[in-house]
Amino acid sequence: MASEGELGRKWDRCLADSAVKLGAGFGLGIVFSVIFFKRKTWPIAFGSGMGLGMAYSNCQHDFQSPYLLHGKYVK
Amino acid sequence: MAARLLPALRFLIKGSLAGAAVYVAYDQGLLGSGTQGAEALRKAQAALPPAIQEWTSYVGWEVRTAQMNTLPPTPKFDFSPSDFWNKGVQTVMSALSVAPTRACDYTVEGWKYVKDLVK
Repeated sequence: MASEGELGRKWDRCLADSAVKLGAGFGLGIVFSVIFFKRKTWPIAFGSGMGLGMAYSNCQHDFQSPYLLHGKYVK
Repeated sequence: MAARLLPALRFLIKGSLAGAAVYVAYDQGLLGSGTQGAEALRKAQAALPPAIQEWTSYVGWEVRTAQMNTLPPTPKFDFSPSDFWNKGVQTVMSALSVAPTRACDYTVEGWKYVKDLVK
């Protein structure tokens, strides 16, 4: 694995994680909106925003930790 | 008694549904680190073409003709944002670098065409 490709891989990981967290936040926002908040819009926006914030935090941690190696946890 | 029990039961059911949704999201790794999120997206991308294939065959869209037995294979989603971005930047930069030469060539050709028209 070339070291100059590491930045590209980090960006790929960051964008994939952002898409997943945005979708999960959106989905959970819909669930909470339907179940608890009488189909209002704000839980959906809140969930999406939370997902994006979590993704941003993960990306920031990933980019600022250049010496950590990403391993896989084998159950 | 029943009047007090019903709202409590309804709240319990709603709470269970919401809790189950959050737990499923957590269990699938959607709320974890960046690596887990990327892994979850890769799993979803791998599961999508067989699901589409199964759905189309269930609906009955599988066409059998003399030339081919089934529909063309479903496309594989192998998307790398950084590769796409880099390719885009390279294309734009190479187009900008040849732009002056191309402009000169087109000007010469256009001038020749006008001269021929005027003759």
